[in-house]
Amino acid sequence: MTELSSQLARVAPRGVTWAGLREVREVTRSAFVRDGRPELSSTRDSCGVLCEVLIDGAFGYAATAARDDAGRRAAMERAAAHARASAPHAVHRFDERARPPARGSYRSPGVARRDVDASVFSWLVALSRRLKAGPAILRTTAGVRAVDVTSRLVSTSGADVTQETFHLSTDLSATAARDGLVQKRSDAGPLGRSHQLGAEALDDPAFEARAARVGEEALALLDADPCPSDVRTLLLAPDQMMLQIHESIGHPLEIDRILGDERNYAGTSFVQLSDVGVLQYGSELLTVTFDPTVAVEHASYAFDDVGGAATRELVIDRGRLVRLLGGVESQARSGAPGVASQRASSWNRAAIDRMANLNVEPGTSTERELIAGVERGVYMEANRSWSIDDRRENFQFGCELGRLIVDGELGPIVRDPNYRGRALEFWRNLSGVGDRETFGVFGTPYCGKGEPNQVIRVGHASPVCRFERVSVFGGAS
Amino acid sequence: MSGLEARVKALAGTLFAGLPAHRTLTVELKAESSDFVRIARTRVRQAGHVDEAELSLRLVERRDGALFESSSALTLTGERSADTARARRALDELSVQVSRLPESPFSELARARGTSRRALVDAPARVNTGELLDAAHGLDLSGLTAEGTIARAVLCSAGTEHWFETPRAVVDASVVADNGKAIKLQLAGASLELAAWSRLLDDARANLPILTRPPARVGPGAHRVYLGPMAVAELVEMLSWGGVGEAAIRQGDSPLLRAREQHLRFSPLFSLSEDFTRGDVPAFTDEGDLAPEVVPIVTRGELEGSLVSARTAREYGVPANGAQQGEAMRAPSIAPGALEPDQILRTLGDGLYVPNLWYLNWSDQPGGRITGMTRYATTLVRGGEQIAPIENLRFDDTIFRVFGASLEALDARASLVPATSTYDFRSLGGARVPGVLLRELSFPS
Repeated sequence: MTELSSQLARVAPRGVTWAGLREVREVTRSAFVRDGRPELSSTRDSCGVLCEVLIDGAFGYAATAARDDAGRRAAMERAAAHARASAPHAVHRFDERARPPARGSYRSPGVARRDVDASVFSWLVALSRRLKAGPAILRTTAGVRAVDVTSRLVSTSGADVTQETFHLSTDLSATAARDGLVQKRSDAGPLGRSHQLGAEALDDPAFEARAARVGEEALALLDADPCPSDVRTLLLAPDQMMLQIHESIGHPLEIDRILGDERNYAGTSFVQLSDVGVLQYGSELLTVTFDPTVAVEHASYAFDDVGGAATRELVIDRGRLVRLLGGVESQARSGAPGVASQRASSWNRAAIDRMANLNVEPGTSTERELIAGVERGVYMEANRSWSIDDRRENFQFGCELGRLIVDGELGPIVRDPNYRGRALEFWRNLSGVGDRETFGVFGTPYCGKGEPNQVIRVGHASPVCRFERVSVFGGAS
Repeated sequence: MSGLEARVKALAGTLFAGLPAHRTLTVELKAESSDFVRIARTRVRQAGHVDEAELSLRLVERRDGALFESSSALTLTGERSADTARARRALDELSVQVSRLPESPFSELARARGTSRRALVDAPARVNTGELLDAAHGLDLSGLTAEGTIARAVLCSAGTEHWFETPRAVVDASVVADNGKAIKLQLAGASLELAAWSRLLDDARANLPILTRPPARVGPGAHRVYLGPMAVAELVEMLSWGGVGEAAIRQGDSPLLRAREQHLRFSPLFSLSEDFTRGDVPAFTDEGDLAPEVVPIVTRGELEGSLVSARTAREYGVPANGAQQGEAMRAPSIAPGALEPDQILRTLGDGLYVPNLWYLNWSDQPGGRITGMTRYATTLVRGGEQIAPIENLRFDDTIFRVFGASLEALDARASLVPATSTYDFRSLGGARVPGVLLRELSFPS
C-alpha cells in the first residue's frame, strides 16, 4: 500500500459510499524576454489535494494544501458535509461506477526532461535578434514555459494511478509598425507550440529559422494589401485548424454542455444527444479522433482525473458523428458514448468534461494538390482572434497572415485575414484534406470552461484543410 | 482564514531578516477559503470547498550598478515550520537564479511604499443551498454560488505592508426558458441575502413570458441598440485587454495608440476612469504602490491618461499611477448620463434591447474593432415595446464608434456589475457602468 493510500485509509470519513484523494503537484518555470531583455523569470510550485467523497449518490469535494492527517481529515469532513447537503437536491444519483478502480501509471513518452534554467535566457536573447528583422519591428517577444505535473489518485475502491507529464510551450512574436499600421506575426499563435516535451526540445535549430521567418513576415505584412472581402475557397494551415477544431467540433461535442451544465457560463451546444450515429457533421473527408496516445501531443495521458482509462476513439467517422466527449459521469447521466475526458485544471478543482487531444485525421491530398484545385481562394495561418456563439454555431476567426490563391497558384501575402461561418455548413463544405506531410501537431494551455472556472491544456493536430464558399474579409485599419 | 495574517507576516519577517543590503524581497499573498455550489437545472451538480493560499516572492538584486530580478510562488500548506522551510528554499533558489540572469533594466529595488490594512474578517452566516433552490421553485436555474473570505497582501523588505481581507459572496446564474433563451442574474456582497435573491428571481419570473414568444428574425446590418450594464462591462473588460495600458499603447497593441497619434476623440458623453473609492478591491499593486483614488482615462471624450505600472514608468520615463503589471483595470467606472430607467425602451423606440454580450474578442486590435455575440434576453423593440426575443446576432464594430459617434445616451445611474471570474482565484470588485444607448451597432451576421 502506498503512503497516500495509507493516508486515505486513515482520513476517509465513516459511512461514505466511496472516498478518494487526488494529489497534484505542478511546477511551472517561465522565461520570457521582450526586445531582448528579461521580462519574466519565474517559478510556480502549486501543490495540494482534492478530497472527494460519495454519499447518498452525491459527490462532495474539498481542496486543501494541508499534508498531514489532521488537515486532510478536516477537508474530508468538509467534502462529506457538501455531499450530504447536496444529496437531496443532486442532479443525478451516482454510484461507485463513476470512479473506476483504475490502477496504472503514465509518463510523457520520450521526454528526457531536462529542466528549463537560467541559461535559456541567452537562447531567447539570440532568438530576439532574429525576430528583429528590420527597423520597423516595434517589439519582439520570445519565451518558454515548462510545466511538470505529477498526479496521484487513490480511492477506497482500489484506484491507484500515478501520472507524470512534462509540458513545453514556446512563444516567438514580432510586431511591426509603420505610418500608423501595426502588424503582428508569431510562431503558430500565442503559445501555439505547446507539446509534451522536455527542455531538450529547445536544442532544435529550427527555432532560429522560424524566428527569422516571423520577423520577416511581420515586415512583409506592412506592405501587404488587406484581405479581400468576399466569398471564396479557404485553406487553413494546421496552426489555425487547431482553433477551428477546438471551437467548432470540440466544444459542441462536450456532453456536459449538451446536458446544460454550462448554460450559465461556457454555453450549450447545437448538438443533441440524439445526433450520435445520425448527424452528418461534415463532408465525408472529415474524420476526427479523440487520441490521448499521440506521443508529443499536449494532452496525452493514460487515465483521466476520475480514473477513466483513456483510449483512442473515433468521434467523427467520414463526416458522421459517432461519439461525444464526456467522462463517466456524463456518460451515466446521458447514456451517450463518450471518452475518458473528465479532467480538472488543478488540485483545487473538481473534474468536468474537457477536450484532450482532438485531431483531424490526415487525408490523401498533397498541399500542392489542395492549392491547384482553387481558382480564387486564400490560405490563412496562425490564429489571432476568435469568437463563437454560446451554441458553438456562429463563429468569426481571424488569422495573422493570409496568402491569396489565384488559378491554382499561391499569390501575394494579405494582411488582417478573417473569416466567418456556421459550424455544420462550414465542415460540410470541407473539400480537401491534406496528407501526413501537411500534418501539424499543436496545442494550447488556455482552454477555459467550468464553474468555478478552470483553464486546461488541450492538443489539436491536423493536416492542411480546404473549405468551399467561405465568407472572408479584411481588417478595419 | 483565522490566523493567516499573523502567519504570513511572521513568515515574511523571517525571510526579510536574512537579506543582504544589495537585495530586496517583495512578498505577495493571494488566499481564499471558498464554498462553491454549482447548479444545473435547479439541482446541485457539484459542491465543494477550496482552501488555498499562494505566496509569491520577488527578489531584486543590485550588482555592479545593474539590477537583476526573479520570482517564485508556492502554495502554503498551513504548517508553520514546513512553509518556512519551503519559502526559505525558494528564496535560496531565487538567489542563485538572479546571479545567472541577464540584467533586468526596468526593475527596481523595493522601497518603502507605505502601509494599509482593510480587514473585514467576520464572514456572515452562509445561505443554505436548499433555501436558495427553494426560492427558485418552478424556474430552470443554472449557475454558481461562491462564498467565503478572500485575502490579498503585499509586504516588502523595505517596509511596505498592505493587507486586504474581505468576505465575499457571489451568485452568478441564469434562468432558462423552455426555448433556451435565458435571463442572467448576478448578486454580490459580503454574504448572500435570500431576500435580494428572491427579488431577482421575481424579476426574472416577470420577464420570462417575453422570452418564450417565438423568436423574431433580425437580419444583419446596422441596428439601433440599448446595451445594458452587463453588456457594457464586457466592452470595458476588452479595454483592459491590451487597451488602456500604457505598455500596450507604446508597444503597438492598443487601439488607443491610434487615438493618441491621430487625436481621435470619443463622445463628450463618455468618461472612463479607475475608481478605488468603492473600496471593494485592494488599491495597492504587486509592487506595493497605492493607486490614487481616481485615475481618469477618458474625460468627456478626451483621452486623458492610461494605466501605468511602475515597470512601464521606469521603461518609458513617465509617471506611474498605481497600475498592476499587465495594466488591466481593477475598478473601472463609466460616468452615468441622463437616461432614466423608465425612459430606456421609449427612447430606444425601434431597435434591439441587449442586456448581455458574449465571447468578445478584438477582430482588429490596433484598429479598435471588437466582435462578439448577443446572448441571453436580447429582444426586438418596436415603438418602445419589447416584442420578442431574437436569434442571436454577431456584432463587429469599433470602440471609437461605440463610445464615439454612435453613443446617444447613458443611464442616469451606473450599476455595479460584479467580477465573477474564478480562474485560479476568485475575483474582487467589479465594473461600475451605466447602460448605453447607441444610434447604431454593426451586426454582420
